[in-house]
Amino acid sequence: MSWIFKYVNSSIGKKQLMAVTGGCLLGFLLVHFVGNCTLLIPDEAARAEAFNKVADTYASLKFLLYVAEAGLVVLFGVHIVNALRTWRENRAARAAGYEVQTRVGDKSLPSFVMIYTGTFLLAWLVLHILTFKFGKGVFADIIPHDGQITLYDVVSFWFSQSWYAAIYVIAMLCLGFHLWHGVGSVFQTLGLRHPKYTPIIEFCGKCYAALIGGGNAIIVITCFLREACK
Amino acid sequence: MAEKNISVTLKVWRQASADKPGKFETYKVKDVSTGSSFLEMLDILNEELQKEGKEPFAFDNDCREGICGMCSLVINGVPHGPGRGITTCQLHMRSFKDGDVIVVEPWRASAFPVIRDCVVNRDAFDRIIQAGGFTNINAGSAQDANAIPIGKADADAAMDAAACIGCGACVAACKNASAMLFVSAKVTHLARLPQGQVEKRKRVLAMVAQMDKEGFGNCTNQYECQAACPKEISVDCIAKMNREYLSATVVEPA
Repeated sequence: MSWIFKYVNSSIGKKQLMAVTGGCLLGFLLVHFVGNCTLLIPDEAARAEAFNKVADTYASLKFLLYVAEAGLVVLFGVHIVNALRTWRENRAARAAGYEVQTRVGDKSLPSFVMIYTGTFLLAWLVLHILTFKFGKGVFADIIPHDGQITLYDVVSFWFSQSWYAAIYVIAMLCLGFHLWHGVGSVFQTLGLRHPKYTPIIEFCGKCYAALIGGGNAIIVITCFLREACK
Repeated sequence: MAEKNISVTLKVWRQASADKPGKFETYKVKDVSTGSSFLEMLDILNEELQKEGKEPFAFDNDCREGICGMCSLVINGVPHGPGRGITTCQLHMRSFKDGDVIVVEPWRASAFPVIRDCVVNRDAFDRIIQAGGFTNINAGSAQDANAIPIGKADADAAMDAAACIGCGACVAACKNASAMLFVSAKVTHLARLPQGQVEKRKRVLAMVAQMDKEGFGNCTNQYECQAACPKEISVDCIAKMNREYLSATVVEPA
């Protein structure tokens, strides 16, 4: 069994655990985003029905939903714990810094701010879960759209709050930044590099980052403006 | 090319020993030929310092033709200075303008402690090589050179990786002071050849374990190392090592 401990405590092992968990979370993000897209339906009744139907579908999974949620907690947990471990080690590896450090590589800003975008996303995730999962009518007077309070009512209430919508837009930009570097990194860290496929993977990774980050931000902005223009 | 003389201001890191705090000292070097190398310019500086009765500036150098991997200066924030695919000794003063201020620092990494001024201790690299950067072959009389056929692509990739001179610019350039490019160049060089494949799993496990023990950082895929490498070693090597390490962990019996 010692080989398992050796692996998870090795530099490459830690990175690969982050890559695998990050890779799985990419799938989760896509499914979540597709569900969110129902919020773009123009007609309000149809929009509320479609959105609540997605929510109800998940709720109807009952036990399986808890299993899936536990899985997500593990994925996020492993990803975050290893991110913090490597971050701490990386800082210790260069105890004394440079007077001048010039970047010569071809990687852009997002790769240098992964720990900051990640930290902001973690803080946002707490807010996201508090308000949308556990906050049905707890934190504010939410007016039901149709008799009883549905998840759609909760979502449209919070997205009509300018401060809340602003935090979401910033979080989604952070997510886009995080994925911009993250998707390609998953493949590199697992050793999946090939002269033919790596350029395609890098390009698709950036498209994915723009789709998820930009797409979710557009959904929030649309919801906010819709309420603001009422 | 017509050479001319320029004057530059040097801001260099001076540190008496590993346990003493260091600081930057500013020196002016006047009328240095643009045809002289960066190290020759430092030789001129040291002659001046000696004339003034001051301690000369210590920096590593040996072959001065870009193959030994001894020179190790971070010049204006870039290991081996401006210019790609060259070592500090191959950098010439024509890369600078009259009146330039040039900041000279040592490789900064906890695993490379400063010995004096800009000379750092790179024994950590030697210990990584000792951990597995070799092949064990019972050497009798030399066999025929063509007895082991090697495909051209493998031979070329192995040779590209073998070009690593172990200077440590990859560690110096990486924001995490990671040694992944150096170690992966050695792992790739040997794993690409039949002679090295026999021990490839043991090797990658041992070398990575030693790398971690030395206190180098983790790779965050920013590829600063590849850009700073005087031998232009590719991050393809890092991907290969990641792959080799994972498969060795899964397959190797112990």
